Amino acid sequence: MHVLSRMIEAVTPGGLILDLQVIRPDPRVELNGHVVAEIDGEPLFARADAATAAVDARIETGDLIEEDVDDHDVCSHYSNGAELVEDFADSKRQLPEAVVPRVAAIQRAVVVRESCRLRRLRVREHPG
Amino acid sequence: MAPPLVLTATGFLLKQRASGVDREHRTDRPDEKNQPLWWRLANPSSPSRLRMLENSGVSPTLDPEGAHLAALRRLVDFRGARVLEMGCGDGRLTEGITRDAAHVLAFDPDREAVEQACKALPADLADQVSFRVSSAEQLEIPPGSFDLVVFSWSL
Repeated sequence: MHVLSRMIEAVTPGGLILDLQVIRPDPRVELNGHVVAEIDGEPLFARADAATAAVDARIETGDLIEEDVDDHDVCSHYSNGAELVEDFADSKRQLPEAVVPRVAAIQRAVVVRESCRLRRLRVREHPG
Repeated sequence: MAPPLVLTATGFLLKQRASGVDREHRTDRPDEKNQPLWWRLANPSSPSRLRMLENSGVSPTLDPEGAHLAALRRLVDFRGARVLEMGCGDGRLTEGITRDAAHVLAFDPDREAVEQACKALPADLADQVSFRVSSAEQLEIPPGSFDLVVFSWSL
């Protein structure tokens, strides 16, 4: 991956790269802390998987050293379900059709929770 | 073809380079449909976000818990570091990184997002950040010039 190579070159030997990607499971729609629906995240996971594979390949060659991993969730807040449904109307990542009416009818604040992974990667001191 | 634009934290367009063709100019907008939800909501030019604002006048709140920045800080001490932030978008993470770093070069191919980032940056941090409208392929980066690179869902 050309971009990754360029960024590795940009860092001083021994410097760090932080790579933040979305990870599975699928994003969850939550109401009062309870999951009421899941969103198909595969369109985004496919891209994240490719990026992860590119990083893994550079770890395999020794150009990068994985030092730490931090998995965490990030939440997007909506005033109600209709806002959420509308936002996903033109998205490749879709709410299942069967749950759209139920989510759209929610009158209270809802949250979409997505899982992310942050990797700390150290650039090899003496690139080969 | 117009020369590339260089944006700084202190204002909008400050300089147009006479040469270099369009190495930093292309603003190929990422396919919104392939971006995470938070990206689409955070991006000031996102059709999703604009439509939502038009219809409801209420913007959803994105990561008010600060989970992303907290994760960055758990893994790295930015103090004194020269940081390259790839895919800065509207600068949602830029300010937090800049609070600790010596200097941040933040770039994104989305011009409107970068302009928003410029506007949003507090004045006291303006000297510590440089913004560029550029893709990763086109940005001119001297080798070994940064201590740390942050990929914000952009690799």
